[in-house]
Amino acid sequence: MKERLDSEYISQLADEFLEIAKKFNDYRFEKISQQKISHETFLDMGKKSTQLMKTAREMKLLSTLIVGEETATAILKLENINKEIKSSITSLIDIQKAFDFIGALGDLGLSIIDKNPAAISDNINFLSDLVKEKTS
Amino acid sequence: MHLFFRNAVYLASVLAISCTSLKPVQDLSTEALDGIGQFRELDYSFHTSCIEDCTFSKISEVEIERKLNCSCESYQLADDQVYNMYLALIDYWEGLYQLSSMNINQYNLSRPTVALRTTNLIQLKDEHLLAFQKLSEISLKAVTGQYRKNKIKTYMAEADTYQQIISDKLTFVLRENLSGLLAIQEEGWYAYYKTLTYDPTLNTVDKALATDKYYKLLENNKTRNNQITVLIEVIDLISQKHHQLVEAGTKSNSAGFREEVGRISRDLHTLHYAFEQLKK
Repeated sequence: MKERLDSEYISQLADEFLEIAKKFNDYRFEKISQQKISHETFLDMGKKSTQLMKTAREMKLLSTLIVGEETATAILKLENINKEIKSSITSLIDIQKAFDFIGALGDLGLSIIDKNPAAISDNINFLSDLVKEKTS
Repeated sequence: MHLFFRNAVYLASVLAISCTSLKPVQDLSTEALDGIGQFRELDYSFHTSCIEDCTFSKISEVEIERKLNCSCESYQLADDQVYNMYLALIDYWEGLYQLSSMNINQYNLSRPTVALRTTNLIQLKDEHLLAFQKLSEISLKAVTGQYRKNKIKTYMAEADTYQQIISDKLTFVLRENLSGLLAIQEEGWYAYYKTLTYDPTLNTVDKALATDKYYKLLENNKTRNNQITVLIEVIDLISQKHHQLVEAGTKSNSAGFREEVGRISRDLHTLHYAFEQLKK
């Protein structure tokens, strides 16, 4: 039964990543409409959201091919952080902060796909700190 | 002469009863085979998703190479996993069908064995591995004579848990992961085409073409998503009804069983019709 939960959890996590990527896309479309960011920054942000979606795709694959227990345990703490990011990202005025969130989440995604528990823990801690520092 | 007549009547009655009792199971198996068989007509897979995503990335980057170089091997592995789950279910229902029609000579004994051998056992944890093994073993036993037609109930009862585990796993993968890939793909299109509308170097006609392309892609995905949804409903329905019949301990020659099987057949027909409509 544990394996099923792990598989489900990774799949849900992929959904969370997709949701955050959507919110980030909304964010950058809003900022470019208001001319608060340059076209270059707008495109850079697009690359970040693409990276996040790519990670979500790989997680869906990983969920189908089953994930290891150690990895699953390492990422169980993520749920609250994701909620926090989702709720705050669209209200962020500081563009750099939005970049940092998405960048850190992208790195975390990659370490999950690599099934690297140590890197997962490091990235989760880094994200936690970012969330604590929050939000302007 | 009198004794002969009496025996002949008795024999005819036994034959009639056994034929009547097996017909509903045969009908149910036929419907299940048709329903689950819709899997083969799905217009989407993990590998397709990977190739499409890779192609889309190359288009976005305007990257032309002599060959389309996409590494989608692990996505193919996921498809193999899904296909083996499908095959395990089909083999079970095929065994049930052959058993109920007593036409066991036609059953291809190599299929369950092949399914077991080709399944990527390393990727599966104990619960699923056991379900695969058991369902395949039961299918083999059914046709090699350890089960007889009057043991269909025992056969179904023994297989019930395993067919449920495999059905649950298969529908989970289809619902959450394969459909999930469609959702991710759609957001990718949204981000790309909407970004184009902010490109100062493009004129209104270019932007209108991009918009048209985006909505056409969305429409195509809608059909795929509906196909997956109908297939999930079919697999769920078959698995649930199998379980309900076993749970209720319904006698396979009772009127209740026939009635229930008739109802399931109608539900499956409706879903099958919905699937056919989606192909148009």
